[in-house]
Amino acid sequence: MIKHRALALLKAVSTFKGGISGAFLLLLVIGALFAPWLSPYPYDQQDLGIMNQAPSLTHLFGTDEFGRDVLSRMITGARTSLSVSVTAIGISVLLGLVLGATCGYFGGTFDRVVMTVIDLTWSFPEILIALMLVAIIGPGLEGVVIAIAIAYLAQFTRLTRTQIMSLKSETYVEATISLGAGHAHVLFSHLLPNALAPVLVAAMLATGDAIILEATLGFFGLGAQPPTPSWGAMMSSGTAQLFIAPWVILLPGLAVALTVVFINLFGDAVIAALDVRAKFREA
Amino acid sequence: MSDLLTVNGLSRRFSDGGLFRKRKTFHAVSDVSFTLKKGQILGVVGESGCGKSTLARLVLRLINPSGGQVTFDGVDMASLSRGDMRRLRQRMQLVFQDPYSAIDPRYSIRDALLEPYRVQGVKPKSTDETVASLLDMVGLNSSLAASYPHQLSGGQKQRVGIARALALNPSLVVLDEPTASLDVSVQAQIVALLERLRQELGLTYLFISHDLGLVRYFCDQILVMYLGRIVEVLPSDAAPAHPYTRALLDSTFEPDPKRRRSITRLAGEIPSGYDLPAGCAFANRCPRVSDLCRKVLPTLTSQGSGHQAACHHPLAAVPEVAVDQRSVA
Amino acid sequence: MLLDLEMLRISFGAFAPVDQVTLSVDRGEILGIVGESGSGKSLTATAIMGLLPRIGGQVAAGTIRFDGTDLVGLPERQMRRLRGGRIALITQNPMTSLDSMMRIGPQIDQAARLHLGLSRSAARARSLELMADLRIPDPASVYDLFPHQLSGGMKQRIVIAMALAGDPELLIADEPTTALDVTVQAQIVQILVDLVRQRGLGLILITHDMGVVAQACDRVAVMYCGRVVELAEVDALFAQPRHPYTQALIRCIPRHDMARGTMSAIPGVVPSAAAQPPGCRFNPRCARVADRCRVEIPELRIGVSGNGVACHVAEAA
Repeated sequence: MIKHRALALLKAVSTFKGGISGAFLLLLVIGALFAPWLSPYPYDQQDLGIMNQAPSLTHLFGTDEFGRDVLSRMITGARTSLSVSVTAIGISVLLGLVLGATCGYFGGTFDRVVMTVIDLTWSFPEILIALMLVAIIGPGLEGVVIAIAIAYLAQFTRLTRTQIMSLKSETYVEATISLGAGHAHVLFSHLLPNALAPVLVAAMLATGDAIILEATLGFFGLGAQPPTPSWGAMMSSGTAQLFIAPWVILLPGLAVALTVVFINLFGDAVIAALDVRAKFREA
Repeated sequence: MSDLLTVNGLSRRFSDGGLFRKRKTFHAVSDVSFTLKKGQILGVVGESGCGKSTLARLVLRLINPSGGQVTFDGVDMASLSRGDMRRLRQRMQLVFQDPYSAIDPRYSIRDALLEPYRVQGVKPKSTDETVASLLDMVGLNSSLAASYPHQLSGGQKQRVGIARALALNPSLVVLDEPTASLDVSVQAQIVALLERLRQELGLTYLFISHDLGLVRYFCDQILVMYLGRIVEVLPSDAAPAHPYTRALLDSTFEPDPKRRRSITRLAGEIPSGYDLPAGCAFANRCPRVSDLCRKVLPTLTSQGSGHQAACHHPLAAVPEVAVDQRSVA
Repeated sequence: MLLDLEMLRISFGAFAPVDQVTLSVDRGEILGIVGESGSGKSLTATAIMGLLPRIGGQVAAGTIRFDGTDLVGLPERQMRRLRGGRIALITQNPMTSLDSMMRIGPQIDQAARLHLGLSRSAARARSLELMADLRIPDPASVYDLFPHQLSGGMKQRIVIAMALAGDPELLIADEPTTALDVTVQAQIVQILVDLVRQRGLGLILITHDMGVVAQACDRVAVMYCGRVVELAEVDALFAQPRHPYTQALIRCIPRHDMARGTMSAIPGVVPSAAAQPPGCRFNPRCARVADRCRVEIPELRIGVSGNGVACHVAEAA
């Protein structure tokens, strides 16, 4: 089965859309991982002599109000943005899988109580929930991770629950129970593995959204605290120089937009690859 | 021979509706009793909605009854703990109607065949040999072990389903329409396989089907169900006494144009299992209906040795009459 | 003859899942086409309806002569006039033949309005009459129901009524009773037989069930892997089946007087379209296979009686 999932990924990457977006995302991840070595300058090296310089050969993306190299800050910022959103979505997916699977499989009062709370949070925009939570926890990256994780919890819980509920009525599940299987075997050997693919695809798409959310929180000054760069925080500090040094706000903005677009494209390619397999299976 | 399975007054009701709709009760199985001796094949026949599949699941306790008792090899299943029940499942297995969905699509045939052992915590001596011998037992080539369900034909998948059910050496196998979604030639293969396995392994079958012709061929004793109740219990070579069984038999076409059936116009179709009438459930379609039938529910009464029918006006035991329809028309 | 197929060959790219099919049906006659899944029986029906291009296939050779006109290569405009009019199709699954968002009555009316040019009220009167003919209780109220409010057997009757609405001369029923309960199946088969006897329609009844064939048909074409292996009048076919496949197929069905264990199965599986054996396509599964069968494809030879068989061994006997 692991072979099949790898096959779907391979198929996704081999398409034009999947290939281009996959390559971009791979570059981004490499950039984030090796940020200290790849940045041309230390991200926090100030040089007040070269404030707000336009992009040039020495500073490819220009400098900001403190004369810091924008490219270096963006590379390090990618590290913040990616690690925050991936961690947050990872936590959210794990929690969502546990909650959704428990609710969908066992039902009953627990399901009703959990789903009422989940539906309640579902009816607020993620940004509102995140803002509220950060206000409670206090600013800082940990707060942002928790806020994003909880903001997306409703989505993954509901998706997992629906998947589990429909898979529960499959004949092979009844067949396993009639062999004498207990709940754990049914859940972990049949239901969750079959429910995983759509949840993972949703998680990938949500990571794009989470990057925007992280940038928004950073823009409000609620995320990474200076001097740690993040794309959102960079844009925030860039607003003051919007007309003097537009690159300080535009380039991180472009990075956010491109990343989200490519994540979505890659997600589409994976969905298409998975669908092809489903059709093949039916035939 | 001793009794392997005793079912007594088994019932199952389902309720739905609630807040905005009148609560309705669906009688899936009502007051069903029978015994199944070791080595016997008992057929349960009826049309959709007669409760035969629910009965199969009640017998295996995959769903809990609303009333009544199931005793398997002297043990009352209701008295068992969850763990004991799970262990008992080794001895009673189910083969499904739809072989296409009875195997997890992500499992290879090998994994599917080893799952029973994994579930029961039994370690087979050699997994490769076990898989090969299971496949061989149901007439499949052992090279299929590495395949996935979608690569197999319906008949092959059903053979895998049977092999899986037999992996843990059960005593009782419940066959829930095992051939209904297969071509006739494949059906014949599966039936022959089931017959061979029964003799080799000393199995007892509860065979559920909508095909009275097949049940009469394959089973020793037949239960005919209509809307959740047993309307007739008959040896497979006996002429039916209940008008419904007669109608079922007349609707089963034999591969012989000389024995064309004159279709008795069985008026109407099966009513819903909700709001059952007070009397006989078959009354509104029965050619022999009387006022008594509409008021009083008939109980099973003896029609000869091993033969019971729940009918106020049973048919006399007459040999089958074949009518050549063309000579009438 | 109402319909005459001669040496029909259907191709999908390099594959020809149906080849050399010759059969015919007359007015007032029921021709059974019997075979397992993959025998090409449904594709043959699709070809007669002129619907092959929709599923990516085409008639590569042969003729489909309907009342004297060859339907192969007939312009789509003319084909459309025949389809649902003089030739009607009843499909296996009544659930998919009905529009779930539309009331029952107007769905039956359609063919009559389209092909017979009837007014709305005249079409309605005709639909009610048809429904009464098919013994649908209380047609006037069923007319205003939605499909989901009807049982499976009732839906199949509605589908038959829809097929009859255009006043067809040829009716093709593709496994019309497979999805139904046995008592309902018996009723539907009886309705179809009565239609042919009373209205003089030609009926092609496609089925995998030899029991249904024996019950309803006048003549039978047995198909295997896209070819007609035996064509015979029904009594002769069951009394003296000549092709080993026909014999095996009949023996697959339990009869009332069979003892347990005496039913015999056909060994092996139907080969896929991509893996057809050379020679007679049944030869790997045949009990009476001869050397010649493995190399040379037997042709269907129809005698003066109108019966014929495509088998080297049966011909030699």
